[in-house]
Amino acid sequence: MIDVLLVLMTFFMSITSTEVLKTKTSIELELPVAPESKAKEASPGEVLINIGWIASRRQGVIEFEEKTIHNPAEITNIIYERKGNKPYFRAVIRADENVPYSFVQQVMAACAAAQVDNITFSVLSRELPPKNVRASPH
Amino acid sequence: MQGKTSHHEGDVGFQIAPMIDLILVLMVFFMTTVALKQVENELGIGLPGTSMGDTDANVTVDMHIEIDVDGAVTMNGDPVGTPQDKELNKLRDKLKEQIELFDDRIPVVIVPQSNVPHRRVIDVLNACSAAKVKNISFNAS
Repeated sequence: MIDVLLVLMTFFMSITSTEVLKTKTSIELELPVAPESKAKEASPGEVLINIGWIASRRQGVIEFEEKTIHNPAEITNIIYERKGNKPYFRAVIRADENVPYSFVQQVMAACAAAQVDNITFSVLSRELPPKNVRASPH
Repeated sequence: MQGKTSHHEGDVGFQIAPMIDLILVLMVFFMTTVALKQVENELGIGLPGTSMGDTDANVTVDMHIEIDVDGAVTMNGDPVGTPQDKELNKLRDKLKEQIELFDDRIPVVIVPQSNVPHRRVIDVLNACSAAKVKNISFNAS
Protein backbone atom coordinates (compact mmCIF):
# COMPACT_ATOMS: atom_id res chain seq x y z
CA MET A 1 0.00 0.00 0.00
CA ILE A 2 2.63 2.51 1.03
CA ASP A 3 4.88 1.49 -1.85
CA VAL A 4 2.12 2.20 -4.36
CA LEU A 5 1.38 5.55 -2.74
CA LEU A 6 5.05 6.54 -2.82
CA VAL A 7 5.34 5.63 -6.51
CA LEU A 8 2.20 7.63 -7.37
CA MET A 9 3.44 10.61 -5.38
CA THR A 10 6.83 10.57 -7.11
CA PHE A 11 5.05 10.42 -10.48
CA PHE A 12 2.88 13.47 -9.80
CA MET A 13 5.81 15.37 -8.29
CA SER A 14 7.97 14.80 -11.37
CA ILE A 15 5.22 15.94 -13.78
CA THR A 16 4.60 19.13 -11.80
CA SER A 17 8.26 20.15 -11.47
CA THR A 18 9.07 19.49 -15.16
CA GLU A 19 6.32 21.81 -16.36
CA VAL A 20 7.37 24.59 -14.00
CA LEU A 21 10.93 24.48 -15.31
CA LYS A 22 9.89 24.64 -18.95
CA THR A 23 7.69 27.72 -18.76
CA LYS A 24 9.66 29.98 -16.44
CA THR A 25 10.13 33.49 -17.89
CA SER A 26 10.87 36.94 -16.50
CA ILE A 27 8.20 38.62 -18.66
CA GLU A 28 4.50 38.03 -18.12
CA LEU A 29 2.94 35.98 -20.89
CA GLU A 30 -0.63 34.99 -21.55
CA LEU A 31 -0.47 32.38 -24.26
CA PRO A 32 -3.41 32.08 -26.68
CA VAL A 33 -5.68 29.04 -26.51
CA ALA A 34 -5.90 26.52 -29.36
CA PRO A 35 -7.87 23.34 -28.57
CA GLU A 36 -6.80 21.69 -31.86
CA SER A 37 -3.08 22.04 -31.13
CA LYS A 38 -0.74 19.06 -30.91
CA ALA A 39 1.37 17.85 -28.01
CA LYS A 40 4.92 19.13 -28.01
CA GLU A 41 7.40 16.97 -29.89
CA ALA A 42 10.95 16.40 -28.80
CA SER A 43 13.30 18.23 -31.17
CA PRO A 44 17.02 17.60 -31.68
CA GLY A 45 17.64 21.35 -31.69
CA GLU A 46 15.48 24.36 -30.92
CA VAL A 47 15.52 27.90 -29.60
CA LEU A 48 12.81 29.33 -27.38
CA ILE A 49 11.73 32.92 -28.07
CA ASN A 50 9.38 34.58 -25.57
CA ILE A 51 7.48 37.63 -26.84
CA GLY A 52 5.69 39.90 -24.39
CA TRP A 53 3.60 43.02 -24.87
CA ILE A 54 3.85 46.15 -22.72
CA ALA A 55 0.35 47.58 -23.14
CA SER A 56 1.11 50.93 -21.45
CA ARG A 57 3.94 51.69 -23.90
CA ARG A 58 2.43 49.70 -26.77
CA GLN A 59 5.78 48.03 -27.21
CA GLY A 60 6.81 44.45 -27.86
CA VAL A 61 9.61 42.87 -25.86
CA ILE A 62 11.56 39.68 -26.51
CA GLU A 63 13.11 37.46 -23.88
CA PHE A 64 15.72 35.30 -25.49
CA GLU A 65 18.19 33.17 -23.53
CA GLU A 66 17.49 35.18 -20.34
CA LYS A 67 18.18 38.51 -22.09
CA THR A 68 15.58 41.20 -22.78
CA ILE A 69 15.68 42.50 -26.35
CA HIS A 70 13.53 45.18 -28.00
CA ASN A 71 14.77 44.89 -31.57
CA PRO A 72 13.90 41.50 -33.18
CA ALA A 73 16.78 41.80 -35.68
CA GLU A 74 19.27 41.42 -32.81
CA ILE A 75 18.45 37.73 -32.34
CA THR A 76 19.26 36.70 -35.93
CA ASN A 77 22.98 36.15 -35.39
CA ILE A 78 22.47 34.24 -32.14
CA ILE A 79 19.88 31.93 -33.74
CA TYR A 80 22.20 31.37 -36.71
CA GLU A 81 25.02 30.35 -34.34
CA ARG A 82 22.75 28.01 -32.38
CA LYS A 83 21.48 26.41 -35.59
CA GLY A 84 24.91 25.50 -36.95
CA ASN A 85 24.51 22.53 -39.27
CA LYS A 86 21.53 20.97 -37.54
CA PRO A 87 19.01 20.00 -40.25
CA TYR A 88 15.84 19.83 -38.14
CA PHE A 89 16.43 22.95 -36.10
CA ARG A 90 13.31 24.89 -35.13
CA ALA A 91 12.27 28.08 -33.38
CA VAL A 92 9.56 27.89 -30.74
CA ILE A 93 7.73 31.22 -30.38
CA ARG A 94 5.90 31.79 -27.08
CA ALA A 95 4.03 35.00 -27.82
CA ASP A 96 1.53 36.81 -25.61
CA GLU A 97 -1.97 36.73 -27.08
CA ASN A 98 -2.11 40.56 -27.31
CA VAL A 99 1.11 41.04 -29.31
CA PRO A 100 0.28 42.54 -32.73
CA TYR A 101 1.10 40.42 -35.75
CA SER A 102 3.60 43.02 -37.04
CA PHE A 103 5.92 42.31 -34.09
CA VAL A 104 5.58 38.53 -34.37
CA GLN A 105 6.27 38.93 -38.09
CA GLN A 106 9.55 40.74 -37.32
CA VAL A 107 10.59 37.82 -35.11
CA MET A 108 9.68 35.35 -37.87
CA ALA A 109 11.70 37.46 -40.31
CA ALA A 110 14.67 37.28 -37.92
CA CYS A 111 14.30 33.47 -37.86
CA ALA A 112 14.10 33.36 -41.65
CA ALA A 113 17.24 35.52 -41.90
CA ALA A 114 18.96 32.95 -39.65
CA GLN A 115 17.82 30.23 -42.11
CA VAL A 116 15.39 28.65 -39.68
CA ASP A 117 12.27 27.70 -41.63
CA ASN A 118 10.53 25.53 -39.07
CA ILE A 119 8.58 27.73 -36.68
CA THR A 120 6.26 26.56 -33.94
CA PHE A 121 3.89 28.63 -31.83
CA SER A 122 3.34 27.64 -28.22
CA VAL A 123 -0.31 27.66 -27.20
CA LEU A 124 -2.47 26.41 -24.36
CA SER A 125 -4.65 23.40 -24.98
CA ARG A 126 -7.55 24.74 -22.93
CA GLU A 127 -8.65 27.82 -21.08
CA LEU A 128 -8.84 27.90 -17.32
CA PRO A 129 -11.03 30.21 -15.21
CA PRO A 130 -9.27 33.50 -14.28
CA LYS A 131 -6.91 33.29 -11.31
CA ASN A 132 -8.02 36.54 -9.63
CA VAL A 133 -11.74 36.84 -9.13
CA ARG A 134 -12.44 40.37 -7.93
CA ALA A 135 -15.31 41.19 -5.64
CA SER A 136 -17.95 43.44 -7.19
CA PRO A 137 -17.62 47.10 -6.08
CA HIS A 138 -20.26 48.45 -3.69
CA MET B 1 -0.71 5.62 37.86
CA GLN B 2 -1.51 4.15 34.52
CA GLY B 3 -0.42 7.33 32.76
CA LYS B 4 2.93 7.26 34.55
CA THR B 5 3.52 3.66 33.44
CA SER B 6 2.80 4.46 29.77
CA HIS B 7 5.16 7.46 29.98
CA HIS B 8 7.96 5.10 30.91
CA GLU B 9 7.25 2.76 27.98
CA GLY B 10 9.29 5.16 25.81
CA ASP B 11 9.85 4.38 22.11
CA VAL B 12 6.73 3.09 20.37
CA GLY B 13 8.52 2.32 17.07
CA PHE B 14 7.75 3.46 13.55
CA GLN B 15 4.08 4.41 13.08
CA ILE B 16 2.77 3.56 9.62
CA ALA B 17 -0.66 5.20 9.98
CA PRO B 18 0.53 8.84 10.24
CA MET B 19 2.99 8.14 7.40
CA ILE B 20 0.15 7.01 5.10
CA ASP B 21 -1.92 10.05 6.10
CA LEU B 22 0.95 12.36 5.21
CA ILE B 23 1.59 10.68 1.86
CA LEU B 24 -2.11 10.77 0.99
CA VAL B 25 -2.27 14.51 1.72
CA LEU B 26 0.83 15.16 -0.41
CA MET B 27 -0.54 13.00 -3.22
CA VAL B 28 -3.87 14.83 -3.25
CA PHE B 29 -1.92 18.11 -3.44
CA PHE B 30 0.16 17.01 -6.43
CA MET B 31 -2.84 15.43 -8.18
CA THR B 32 -4.78 18.70 -7.83
CA THR B 33 -1.80 20.65 -9.16
CA VAL B 34 -1.59 18.39 -12.21
CA ALA B 35 -5.35 18.61 -12.83
CA LEU B 36 -5.29 22.43 -12.75
CA LYS B 37 -2.15 22.67 -14.86
CA GLN B 38 -2.49 24.16 -18.35
CA VAL B 39 -0.83 21.91 -20.89
CA GLU B 40 1.36 23.80 -23.34
CA ASN B 41 0.98 22.51 -26.89
CA GLU B 42 2.20 23.68 -30.29
CA LEU B 43 1.04 24.77 -33.75
CA GLY B 44 3.70 24.61 -36.45
CA ILE B 45 4.15 26.52 -39.73
CA GLY B 46 6.73 26.66 -42.49
CA LEU B 47 8.19 29.93 -43.68
CA PRO B 48 7.72 30.58 -47.41
CA GLY B 49 10.57 29.97 -49.82
CA THR B 50 12.24 27.31 -47.69
CA SER B 51 12.05 23.55 -47.40
CA MET B 52 8.97 23.62 -45.16
CA GLY B 53 7.16 26.09 -47.42
CA ASP B 54 7.96 24.41 -50.73
CA THR B 55 4.87 23.33 -52.58
CA ASP B 56 4.16 20.44 -54.87
CA ALA B 57 4.71 21.51 -58.48
CA ASN B 58 1.40 19.87 -59.48
CA VAL B 59 -0.61 21.93 -57.03
CA THR B 60 -1.58 25.19 -58.65
CA VAL B 61 -4.42 26.23 -56.37
CA ASP B 62 -3.59 28.16 -53.27
CA MET B 63 -5.76 29.60 -50.57
CA HIS B 64 -5.31 33.01 -49.04
CA ILE B 65 -6.84 33.58 -45.64
CA GLU B 66 -6.96 37.27 -44.82
CA ILE B 67 -7.45 38.54 -41.27
CA ASP B 68 -8.81 42.06 -40.88
CA VAL B 69 -7.80 44.40 -38.03
CA ASP B 70 -11.20 43.89 -36.36
CA GLY B 71 -10.77 40.09 -36.53
CA ALA B 72 -12.98 39.35 -39.56
CA VAL B 73 -11.64 36.42 -41.60
CA THR B 74 -12.01 35.97 -45.37
CA MET B 75 -10.81 33.16 -47.63
CA ASN B 76 -10.00 34.16 -51.20
CA GLY B 77 -12.32 37.13 -50.72
CA ASP B 78 -15.28 35.21 -49.22
CA PRO B 79 -16.16 36.02 -45.59
CA VAL B 80 -15.69 32.90 -43.44
CA GLY B 81 -15.60 34.29 -39.92
CA THR B 82 -16.95 37.26 -38.00
CA PRO B 83 -14.75 38.99 -35.39
CA GLN B 84 -16.65 37.22 -32.58
CA ASP B 85 -16.42 33.77 -34.19
CA LYS B 86 -13.53 32.04 -32.36
CA GLU B 87 -14.24 28.54 -33.67
CA LEU B 88 -14.28 29.61 -37.36
CA ASN B 89 -16.41 26.60 -38.37
CA LYS B 90 -17.14 28.01 -41.82
CA LEU B 91 -13.42 28.34 -42.51
CA ARG B 92 -12.86 24.76 -41.30
CA ASP B 93 -15.59 23.45 -43.64
CA LYS B 94 -14.17 25.34 -46.63
CA LEU B 95 -10.65 24.10 -45.93
CA LYS B 96 -11.90 20.51 -45.61
CA GLU B 97 -13.73 20.83 -48.94
CA GLN B 98 -10.54 22.03 -50.65
CA ILE B 99 -8.46 19.26 -49.09
CA GLU B 100 -10.95 16.63 -50.31
CA LEU B 101 -10.79 18.14 -53.82
CA PHE B 102 -7.03 18.46 -53.97
CA ASP B 103 -4.66 17.28 -51.24
CA ASP B 104 -3.65 18.15 -47.70
CA ARG B 105 -0.40 19.65 -49.10
CA ILE B 106 -2.37 22.41 -50.80
CA PRO B 107 -0.67 25.69 -49.79
CA VAL B 108 -2.58 27.85 -47.35
CA VAL B 109 -1.23 31.38 -46.98
CA ILE B 110 -2.34 33.40 -43.97
CA VAL B 111 -2.31 37.16 -44.56
CA PRO B 112 -3.00 39.06 -41.32
CA GLN B 113 -3.04 42.84 -41.18
CA SER B 114 -0.24 44.30 -39.09
CA ASN B 115 -2.29 45.20 -36.00
CA VAL B 116 -4.15 41.90 -35.71
CA PRO B 117 -3.56 40.45 -32.21
CA HIS B 118 -1.62 37.20 -32.03
CA ARG B 119 -4.63 35.33 -30.53
CA ARG B 120 -6.64 35.90 -33.75
CA VAL B 121 -3.82 34.50 -35.86
CA ILE B 122 -3.77 31.47 -33.54
CA ASP B 123 -7.57 31.08 -33.99
CA VAL B 124 -6.99 30.77 -37.75
CA LEU B 125 -4.05 28.38 -37.25
CA ASN B 126 -6.28 26.35 -34.90
CA ALA B 127 -8.95 26.09 -37.63
CA CYS B 128 -6.27 25.01 -40.14
CA SER B 129 -5.04 22.37 -37.68
CA ALA B 130 -8.63 21.10 -37.21
CA ALA B 131 -8.99 20.81 -41.01
CA LYS B 132 -5.65 18.91 -41.09
CA VAL B 133 -3.92 21.39 -43.39
CA LYS B 134 -0.23 20.47 -43.71
CA ASN B 135 1.22 23.35 -45.72
CA ILE B 136 0.73 26.69 -43.96
CA SER B 137 2.76 29.83 -44.41
CA PHE B 138 2.50 33.56 -43.71
CA ASN B 139 2.55 36.56 -45.93
CA ALA B 140 2.82 40.24 -45.09
CA SER B 141 -0.24 42.36 -45.80
